[in-house]
Amino acid sequence: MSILFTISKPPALGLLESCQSIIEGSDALLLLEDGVYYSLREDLIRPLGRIPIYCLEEDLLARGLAEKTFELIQQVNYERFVKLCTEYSKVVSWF
Amino acid sequence: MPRPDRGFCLSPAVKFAVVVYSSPASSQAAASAYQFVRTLLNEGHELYRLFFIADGVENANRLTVTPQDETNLPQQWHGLITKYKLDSVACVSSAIRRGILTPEEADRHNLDAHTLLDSTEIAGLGQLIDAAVNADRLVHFG
Repeated sequence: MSILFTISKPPALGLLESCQSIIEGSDALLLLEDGVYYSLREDLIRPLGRIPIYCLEEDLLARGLAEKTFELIQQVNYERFVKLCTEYSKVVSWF
Repeated sequence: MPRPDRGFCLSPAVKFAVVVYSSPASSQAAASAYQFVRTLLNEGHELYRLFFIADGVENANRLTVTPQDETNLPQQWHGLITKYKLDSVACVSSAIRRGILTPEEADRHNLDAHTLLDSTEIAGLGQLIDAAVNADRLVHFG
């Protein structure tokens, strides 16, 4: 069973640290709202290994971060967000 | 001209349920939920139920007034719910403690105004459990 995890709060709240122990290799992480600030935290994202890391592009743009992400971050729009929800068997939201 | 390959590029419709925990004024989550619901409907998916809970019930406050250059999210929800005839529910215990009342609840408590948009119903957590059981995907915005 593969899970799409979402985080919508900034790194200061430590949500990724809370949920990373239950993220498995077949899962994925989607960052939205203030969660997109994780795109500046390569040190926290890289240890997740090879799972896909998605980031909502309009939330990046709104915060001036669209050009500042690193290569592991895949920018997605709302259409892709909806499609990702259908591709994973569950969506687990951390906020 | 080649015919489009029917059924090849179309993904099957999925039944979503969306839960909103935040008020329009307190975080971006309510606006994200609105964008998400609009997109899933545009993409041909189904919304089994929209459930407003905790501060999220403020999304169904019909007396919300926003500055002219800002979007009025409750009115946007109302438009979307009406257009697609969505099943929209506000948690009763979250709602009445925040003054979000149907005409019936206002009468029951001897209050002179009702505040819930008429496109949204008031119901208990059973409706959330029902959505979790019957929808293919339950997505939370908080």
